[in-house]
Amino acid sequence: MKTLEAKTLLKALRPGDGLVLILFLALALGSFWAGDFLRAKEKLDANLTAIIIINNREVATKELTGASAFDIQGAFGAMTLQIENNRIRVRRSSCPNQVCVKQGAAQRPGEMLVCVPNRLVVLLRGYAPPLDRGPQGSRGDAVTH
Amino acid sequence: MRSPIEIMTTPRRLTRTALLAGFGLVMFLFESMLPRPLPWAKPGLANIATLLALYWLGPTSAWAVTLLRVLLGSFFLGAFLNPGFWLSLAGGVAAVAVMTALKKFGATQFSVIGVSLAGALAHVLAQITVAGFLIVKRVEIVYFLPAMLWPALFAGIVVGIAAMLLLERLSKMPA
Repeated sequence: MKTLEAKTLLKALRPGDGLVLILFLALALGSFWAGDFLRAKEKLDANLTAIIIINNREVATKELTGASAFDIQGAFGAMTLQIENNRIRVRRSSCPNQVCVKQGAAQRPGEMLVCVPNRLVVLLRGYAPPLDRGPQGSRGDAVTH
Repeated sequence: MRSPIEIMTTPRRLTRTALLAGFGLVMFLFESMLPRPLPWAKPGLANIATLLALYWLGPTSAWAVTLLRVLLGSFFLGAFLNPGFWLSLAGGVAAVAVMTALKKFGATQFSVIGVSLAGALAHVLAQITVAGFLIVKRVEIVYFLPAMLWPALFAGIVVGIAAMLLLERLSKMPA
């Protein structure tokens, strides 16, 4: 039985594979830059909110204003999140490797904090021209007249 | 030209399709239990089953393997008709459509690895589109695209290599 050899694999490649790869890389890099471009156009100080997700469930939404710290219960144990200077970070976590604490603060829309043992994801969603709202981004409950 | 029903009811092909559907389902359940360093990304090992079906048994089997995996996988995980189910379905359908087309129109132009990569790309694009319209409903979803595309790039290549190696061995089976 043949073993996996780089040469055998390279020989199996076809020109179309390169095209697919280029398209893939173009999209990956392009979307990365597009995200940066869109972020640059956003106002970072307005309506920046953190969506706190534990175990795939959205448990809280916090606006990143003022300074506060709060405790949440992750899948592994207790955690403390801290909001300061329009940024959010994990200040304390019960998890073994402390990757989430070392990750530092997130401050740009689209950025996220992740703690795998605690099944925590904090998504930052910021001010951007939304698909289904007016230019001011205000979520009016209803128009009653 | 035989109809899909006739193709599927050739006993040997039917059996092999069922085996691959089972294999895909097991891969799908297995990887849903794996710890995920990136919670939104899975390696897509179930796509190995679709690729094997496509190259070994043909497009009808590939569709059957994919749709059965999505449907039964959601039953097993208790996620039928959840948002995750629609994402899974959209990704699966897009991937198998693109892979079938690429194999049909460019058998000499694309290797299994290229087809797998194209499937991974289609999977991500379909999922993010459905997620954008169904769940997030905001343009910020594009921020997530690179985070999904980069893992998919590597997963697509690995899955393609795995499928290629398996197909080499399957080719020694009696037709």
